[in-house]
Amino acid sequence: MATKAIKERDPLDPVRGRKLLVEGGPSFHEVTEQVCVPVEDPPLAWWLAFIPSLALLGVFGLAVTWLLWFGVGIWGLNNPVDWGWAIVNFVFWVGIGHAGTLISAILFLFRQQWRTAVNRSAEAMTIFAVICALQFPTLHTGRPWAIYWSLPIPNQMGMWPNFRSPLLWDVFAVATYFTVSLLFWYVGLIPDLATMRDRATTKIRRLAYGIFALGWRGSTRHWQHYEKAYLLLAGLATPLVLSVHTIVSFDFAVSQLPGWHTTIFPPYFVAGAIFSGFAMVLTLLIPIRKWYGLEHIITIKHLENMAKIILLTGSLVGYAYGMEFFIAWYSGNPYESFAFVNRAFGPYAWAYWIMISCNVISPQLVWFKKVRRSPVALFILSIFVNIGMWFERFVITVTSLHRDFLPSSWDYYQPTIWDLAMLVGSFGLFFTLFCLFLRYLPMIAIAEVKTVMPEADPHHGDDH
Amino acid sequence: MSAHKKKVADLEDNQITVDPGSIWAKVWMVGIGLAILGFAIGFAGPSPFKEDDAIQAKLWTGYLNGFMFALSLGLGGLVFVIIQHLVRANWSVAVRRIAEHAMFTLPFVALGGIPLLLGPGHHVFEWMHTEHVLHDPMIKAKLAYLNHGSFKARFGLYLAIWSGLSIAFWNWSRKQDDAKSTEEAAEYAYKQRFLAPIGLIAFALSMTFGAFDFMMSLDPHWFSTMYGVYIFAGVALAIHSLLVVVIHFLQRGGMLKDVVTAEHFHDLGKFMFGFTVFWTYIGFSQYFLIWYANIPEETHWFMYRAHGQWLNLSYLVIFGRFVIPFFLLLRRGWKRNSNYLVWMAFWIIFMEFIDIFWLVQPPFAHHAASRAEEAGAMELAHHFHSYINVTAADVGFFVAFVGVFLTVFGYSLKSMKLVPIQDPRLEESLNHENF
Repeated sequence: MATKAIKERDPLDPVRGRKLLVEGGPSFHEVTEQVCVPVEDPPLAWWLAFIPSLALLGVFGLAVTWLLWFGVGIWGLNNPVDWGWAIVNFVFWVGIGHAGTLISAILFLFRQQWRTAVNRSAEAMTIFAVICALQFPTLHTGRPWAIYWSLPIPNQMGMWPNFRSPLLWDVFAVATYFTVSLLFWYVGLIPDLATMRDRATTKIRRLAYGIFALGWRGSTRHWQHYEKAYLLLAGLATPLVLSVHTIVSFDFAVSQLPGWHTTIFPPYFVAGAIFSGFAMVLTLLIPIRKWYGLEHIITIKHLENMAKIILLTGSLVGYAYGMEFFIAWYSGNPYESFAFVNRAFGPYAWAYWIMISCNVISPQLVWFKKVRRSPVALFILSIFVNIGMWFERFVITVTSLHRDFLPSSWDYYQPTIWDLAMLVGSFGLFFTLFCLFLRYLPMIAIAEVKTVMPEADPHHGDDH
Repeated sequence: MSAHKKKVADLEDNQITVDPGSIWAKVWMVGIGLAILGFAIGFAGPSPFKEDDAIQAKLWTGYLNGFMFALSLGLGGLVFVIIQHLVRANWSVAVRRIAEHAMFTLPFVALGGIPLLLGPGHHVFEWMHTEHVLHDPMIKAKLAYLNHGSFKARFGLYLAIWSGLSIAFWNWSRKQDDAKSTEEAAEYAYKQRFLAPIGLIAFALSMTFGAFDFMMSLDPHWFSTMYGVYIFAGVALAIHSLLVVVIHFLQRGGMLKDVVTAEHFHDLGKFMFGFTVFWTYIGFSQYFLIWYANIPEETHWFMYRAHGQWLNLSYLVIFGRFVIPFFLLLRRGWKRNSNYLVWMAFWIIFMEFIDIFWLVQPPFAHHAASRAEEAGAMELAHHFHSYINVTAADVGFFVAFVGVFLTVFGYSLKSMKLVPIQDPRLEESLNHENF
């Protein structure tokens, strides 16, 4: 072992120092060009992604229209499963968002410089995922025009939301999350918007980017304020990464239902959210980095780091599954053990085992360096994780409900074509928004990436 | 800050070795003294109780309390070392050696669990009374887990995992100091890196089930899936604070100067703050979900912590673990000044002991009260429900286990350099700066 020279052993993971994050030694100007040109002149691949996304968005529009016309009766809900895909999709999409905030806020506080190459697109993903998530609670009310009733607005009806309900806390938590994420994303965008403004060749572009760039001129004073604001927003956004999915887990865990009521739910949901979010980041970025020719900025090392986070959070989720199962037995409560045995071996066993194999088993492949450094393998893995995490929410929601305390009311829940159309359509909404983001905004934080290049180090070219 | 980069080769001997004239070279002797004194007080000290049952139960509860506290420091050392290798941290290299000493206490302190596996265990673990358990369907249902044989087997496994990991990391780090070439030193870095992820999994499982066995099972009716995470939060708080305390006083003795700087204290302080919030998050979530659902099987665990002096203790846990450190660790300057930070660190370590006291002692009082009720001694039952008895055993075993910890810690401390001198990332750590 010792004979092999240390330096050559693993260039991506040296024992001393760090691998350069931006490969090929481009100059600052070249980085700007490489990121901005695809925005100004989109490659063909963009159209190939945008058109099908738009078609799926049409499916969503159709499903929503049908839903509003006929009401939630078109869904597969029954008694006792009166909480079906709407909540499953809501939790799924909110979870996806978490990777963006983790990358932008927590990894910033942890000085993880590699985040600079992926934070912009991950934050955009967060915002779009939250938009998708918000569709479901709004639409499942059946009368979405009355959704403002969920806010504590004084009114002549004397109606007031129930402050003891976690569903109301959800409204506050998700709204706060959306607002702060949007602000954080926008603050980070300002210097790059100014770059886009300065490069604009038409009046309209210059005006549009110019308005949003807020008169940024890149003076030292601007940068000083900017950095302070960024740090403060990172500090404020960090607890939000935890709080949002904690509140979502409360939707289930404050109940007394076996399978829902367990104390590990908050951190377990948070770990699962980050897990699914990172999978979605990989799903999006692996093709895009190729189509947009950005493989030297979003490098294999970046993908490997994200794969490791997937392994960690996937294992945490596995730990939580194990704890739930163990304590269900250890509690000595027959209803509790029944709920879990029923999950694994009852009528929904197929869903349970899809969840286990996608969420716990498949990420274990990341232990192998070959897998975690192969974009193709990671892309496939990310799809598995996305599927697994959707099924996790399905398993939690449906298996705990379909066999309640009264065996005569047991039923098997089946979704309808409209449930499916809503889910598939929400992907249309998500991808359409993401394509528009790619079309109009620089998908890499140009200014931030430059700060992690060797030229930005004050000691650069200095032998002291 | 400084214009010139610090180099490992420029480190002076007095910066990185324990001064043989200082108290630190004799810590192990102090430890032995405390251990002897502590065990003597613990076992032979007076007890306020008259019934032999209560005397023994209180004594072994105090023993468990001290044992769990010292164990948490060692577990903290282990998980700190594992995480630093796992994430390839460079900031922490200059402080990691101190955590390695704490980690090295683990195999020795853990031996303290043996008496609890044997005869005396039944004074604290209700489930060890088989004849009694058979009349209790809820405990009977867990007999496959809560029984003598499997308890011993599991403890053997924990001991093997903790000792195996601690000794492996400790040994490699020690050998790295004597490496003849940078190649050889890098080899040891790779070995530790390789073991870290496997070690983390083994640590997580052994700590969780260890916490179930030694603490959650004190009230065998009660259960919480969050319990392992709660214990981890305390362990993580304790180790970062311990590093601040030890390094601060080493620096007062003239060691580690310019090696560990305000930048490192700042980072340690951030982790103390971060884990304070994490502990609160976990503790609150556990309490809140049980309170909201209001299922008697779960709420009773909090109920007997909500009477008389036990309620005051619960308030102390809330204020001492959350409110006070949260506000007093917020400011940047407070984290960078070790003269200030060390007081917070002391406080957090003290609160780790109080938290374990809060976990371990109420079941004793609860059981003693029920026994008194059964015997018709209502006044005594009321006493146990409402009053906290701190006895010589509690103090004695606390001192004793701190003594055992210090003995091993002090021995390890004086036998090695104060920093992993050949760690490939030491230079980055010496020059570490917060932005």
